[in-house]
Amino acid sequence: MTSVLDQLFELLKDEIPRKQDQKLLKQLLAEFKKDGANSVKQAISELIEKIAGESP
Amino acid sequence: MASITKITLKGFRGANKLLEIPVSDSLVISGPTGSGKTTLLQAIEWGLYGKILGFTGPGFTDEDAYINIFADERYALVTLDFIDKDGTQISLQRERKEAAKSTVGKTNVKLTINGSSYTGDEAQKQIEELIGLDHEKFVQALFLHQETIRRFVEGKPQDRSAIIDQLLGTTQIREFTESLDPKRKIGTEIKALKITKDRLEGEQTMIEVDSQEQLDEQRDKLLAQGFKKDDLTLVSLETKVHQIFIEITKLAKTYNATPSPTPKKFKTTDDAKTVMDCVDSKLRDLDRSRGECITKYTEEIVRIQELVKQYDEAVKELSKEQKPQEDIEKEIKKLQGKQSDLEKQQNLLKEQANNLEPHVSEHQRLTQLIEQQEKKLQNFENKNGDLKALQKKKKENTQEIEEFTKELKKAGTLAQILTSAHSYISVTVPTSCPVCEQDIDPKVILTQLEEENKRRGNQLQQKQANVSSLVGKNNQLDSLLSELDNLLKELKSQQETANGKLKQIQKILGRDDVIAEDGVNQIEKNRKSAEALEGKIKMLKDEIWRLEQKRDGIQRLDDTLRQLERNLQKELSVKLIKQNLIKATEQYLQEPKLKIVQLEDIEPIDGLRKQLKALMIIFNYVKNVEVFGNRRDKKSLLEQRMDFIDQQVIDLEELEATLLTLRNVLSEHQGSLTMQALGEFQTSIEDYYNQVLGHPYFQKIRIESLSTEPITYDIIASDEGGLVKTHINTRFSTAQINATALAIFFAVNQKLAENFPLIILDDPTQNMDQAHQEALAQTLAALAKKRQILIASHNEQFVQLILSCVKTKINHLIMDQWIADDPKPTKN
Repeated sequence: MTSVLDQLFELLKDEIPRKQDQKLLKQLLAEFKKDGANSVKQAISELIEKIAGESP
Repeated sequence: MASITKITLKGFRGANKLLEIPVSDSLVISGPTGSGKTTLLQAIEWGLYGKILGFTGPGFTDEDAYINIFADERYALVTLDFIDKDGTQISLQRERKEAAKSTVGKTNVKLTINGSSYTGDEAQKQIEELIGLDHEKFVQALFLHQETIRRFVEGKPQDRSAIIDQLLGTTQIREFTESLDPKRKIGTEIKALKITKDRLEGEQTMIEVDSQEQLDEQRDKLLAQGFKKDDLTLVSLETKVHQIFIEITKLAKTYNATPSPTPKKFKTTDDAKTVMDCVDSKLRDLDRSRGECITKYTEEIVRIQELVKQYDEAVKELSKEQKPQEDIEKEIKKLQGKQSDLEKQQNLLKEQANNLEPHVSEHQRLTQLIEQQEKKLQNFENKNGDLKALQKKKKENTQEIEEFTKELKKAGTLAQILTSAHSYISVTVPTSCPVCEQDIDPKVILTQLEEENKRRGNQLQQKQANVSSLVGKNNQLDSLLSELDNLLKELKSQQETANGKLKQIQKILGRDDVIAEDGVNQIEKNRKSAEALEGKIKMLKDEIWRLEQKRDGIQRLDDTLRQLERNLQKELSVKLIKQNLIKATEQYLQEPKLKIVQLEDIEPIDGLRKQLKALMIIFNYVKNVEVFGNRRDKKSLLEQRMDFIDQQVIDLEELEATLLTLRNVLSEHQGSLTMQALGEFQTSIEDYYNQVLGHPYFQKIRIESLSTEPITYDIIASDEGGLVKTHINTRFSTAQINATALAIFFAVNQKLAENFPLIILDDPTQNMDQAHQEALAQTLAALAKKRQILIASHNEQFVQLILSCVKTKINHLIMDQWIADDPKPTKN
């Protein structure tokens, strides 16, 4: 069975013009399949921390 | 038609024993709360998908809620037998064992179709193809949980929207969309970064960079003051500071100061500052040592001068005391002679008094004894009479005894005569008297003799008693006389001893005419004389002591003088005495006085201080050169850092924008999916709504979207014409809302349960009255014609309604207790 989420990226990618945004969506959908919303929130937190971390 | 044919479970949830439930047709499971009805329905869900709706969260992670907690073996097993739409027999077995080191077990699944076996992911894929639904759709279209109904009835609009999502199959999109809400966290991070940037900007502002021109100006001033260009470097500074240090070391020896270790080399201006501070501190130490040296020499001069002064005074004092010292010696000797005479006289008096004292006191004691003895004698004579009276009385008693003795003898003779007469008469028995020859009656005479004899006997006894009494009295008198004699003898002895003592007293005093009382007076007189002498002796002793003290004082003065002389000689290393010694001392003190004059010159230290001060000016210039360079570097770093923060903020804002874009796109998509699903189900929902609920006023019902961010729905009921509208949660009872939820479920089931026409309902009649229960039973009876229906309910009335409505192809399983042994369904 293919779930709604599996089809979601293909359905929505044309509505997201920027490639990096599409990439992020794909990455977050993969996270959601791991452990649902918690995994997505964790992935976003890590992204934020990576950007806002200490300067080199 | 595909259907479940048997459910077997053991060690799963509430079932701690093996339960085998044959289910060829529809099944109504009844029984009290906690009897295991829901467990049986959950076994179907878990058997098919290995999970149960709502079994998520920390509690379910910590505790393996699938496995029975009371079973001997921590092992859950569910077996489902069913046939697919083509009539193929399928067997599915799912098991779970609790892990050895944690409470969370591992699930294994095995699927057998026509003898072919599948396990793991492959088996799961086969199952979902057979059912035609994944787990999300299964709980949306086939299994209406009692929790789903309860949340739909009692929940807030957001909860109800989530249930509608579940029933329409858009739950995951909603959850995914909502998880893309980074706004708060990104906002916080951006705020923190901006605060950091503000702080850095503040630091940047504080850095006032001296211009190169200012440094040049400072250098020119130094050159004008006489410094050379080569002097204005750290190396030159180091050389000059080290030179000062060498000078300090030399002075340290002069001032007896502690030597310092060699200073470190100047790598930076901080090193230079440290060493120059150290040099400054050393100069202060030197000054302190110089002061200490002056104090030391001054103290030595004062000490020697004091010693000389004391010595000079001692010499003068002693010369004044030399003559009186000899007179004192003579006077002491004279007084000691007097004291000796008086002591002898005193001892003589004391001796005489001491010799008299025992004799006088013994005489006094004896006099008392004589008085007591005389008193005793007087008492005796008063009681018993004196010696003459006692002797007279004894003489009288003796005479009387003699008289009684004579009478006794007479009485004895007469008694013998009477006895002889009685013997004669009793033997011879005469009839006449042999003397007068008159007739006699011997019996009468015998009687008379006996009586006479008896009387005489009594008299004799009386006499004897008198004699004994007198003898006793005489004995007493003898005893008294003896006692009196003893008393007299003792008195005489005491009188003789007292006279002896008196003679001894007279002998000691050298007089024959004194009596004992004179001895006592003499003792007292002697003692008073001795005491008077004691006073005189004491006065003499005091005088001698005073003279001795004076003599000792002169001796001590002499000793002190000798000691002072020795000390001075030792200090000056000479053997001179008196005036020569004092002169030598004056010469000796010249040297320390000269040293003090030298030490009072502060020029050496001040000179070094001036040099250090000049070097400090150079240091400030060198430091400014260094700070200027550092500030240039720091400013550059701060600028880089702030640029980086700007980029971080841009990146975060971009991420936020991206996530919001995704969220919007997803929300929009979810909205369109929902609308599409609602379009598909609308007619069907309304049909079931009217069948189950049959509302008298609101015959129409629609699910409408309330908002898009997040998407929320509401259910609007209206009359036939669509003129009167209401939100169901404002006017509908809980039973009516429940009926609405069932209507949506039935509509979804009708659409999606194509492969596996199954309806599982857990406690569907929550809050419903009998009329609505009947309507639901009728609806289910219609659905049961094309579907297998499995219903769990503790509502016995509803169970009977279902059984009576469906009539055929339905079984009834009564579960009395969840631990029941192998409950069997009964055919309706």
